[in-house]
Amino acid sequence: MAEGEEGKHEIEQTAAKQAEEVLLPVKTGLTEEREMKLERGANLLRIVEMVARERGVLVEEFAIFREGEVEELAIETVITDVYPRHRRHHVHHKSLVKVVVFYGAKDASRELKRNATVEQVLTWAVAVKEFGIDAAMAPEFNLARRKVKEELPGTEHIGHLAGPKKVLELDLVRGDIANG
Amino acid sequence: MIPDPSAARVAADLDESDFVAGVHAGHWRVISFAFPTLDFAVAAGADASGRPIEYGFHADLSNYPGQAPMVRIWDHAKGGPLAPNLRPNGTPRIQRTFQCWTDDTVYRPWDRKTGPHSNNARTFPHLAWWPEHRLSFIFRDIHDILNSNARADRVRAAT
Repeated sequence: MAEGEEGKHEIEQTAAKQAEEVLLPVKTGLTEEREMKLERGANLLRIVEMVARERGVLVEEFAIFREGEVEELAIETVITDVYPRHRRHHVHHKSLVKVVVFYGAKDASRELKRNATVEQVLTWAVAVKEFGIDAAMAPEFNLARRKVKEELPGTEHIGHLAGPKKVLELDLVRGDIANG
Repeated sequence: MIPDPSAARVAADLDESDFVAGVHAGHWRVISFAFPTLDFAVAAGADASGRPIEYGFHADLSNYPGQAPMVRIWDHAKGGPLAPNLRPNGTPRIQRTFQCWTDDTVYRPWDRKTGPHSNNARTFPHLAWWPEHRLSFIFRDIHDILNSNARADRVRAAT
């Protein structure tokens, strides 16, 4: 094969290999996100296996979710041409998180799955009877980590905030209103 | 020609995982990008009949990220700021964010005009603009505020 033809052959082989592979964005921690490479036709178990191997724990201890969806994905789900592979995926430990929300001198707690979002916790927290918050004022509130000023984004999963811990403490705060 | 580092940084931010995740989740979309101008829309829930609502924005990203973005709520059909009576309304935080004021930018401490106004950037350093921030920082802030209105309905439905 002439030199130019060899280079062209390599490019074609690389393109063919890339066509057989799929990249899925996967978030496994608050600041841990990457694109994971899978063979076309593989199933989601491959992603869970990779994460489990990295963490040195059993595959059965993890669950995988798609961003914005409540239900856990079946790990047998095959990555086909029509699979929504551009959507962010989240891998969480299956254990529940006890979320404790503090407001003034009171607090309330609840156990939640790790793919619950900050917004879901916030909706629950502002409705806690003991906190005495009028539903009309619900949009004014936000959640922040305990004794930290920075408000948490509504779409963040509590599992990523809690990390390996089983308890997550949050403050219910009035959202910052810029000085007029 | 030497590529503009600001333009390159904006392009990188539009490809950043948090930003892309928000696009695919339907939280926001880019309408057009021709540096330094970025036109985009942010989802704001649905109206009473279930139709999706979104608001348009127009951003100037000159000298980004060293200089903070300047963002205005925008009527892309008319090519100008959104009329006051069409802006998001609700609790004080929402009204303050989208109020008409001298510079008429989004009134949040990360905005180029709002930051120095009334000491906002100093008072709220965690909401101020820093060059380390990515565009997703301001997109997420706008999305959270726009969607906070729906929280009152969810709370009432849950109680």
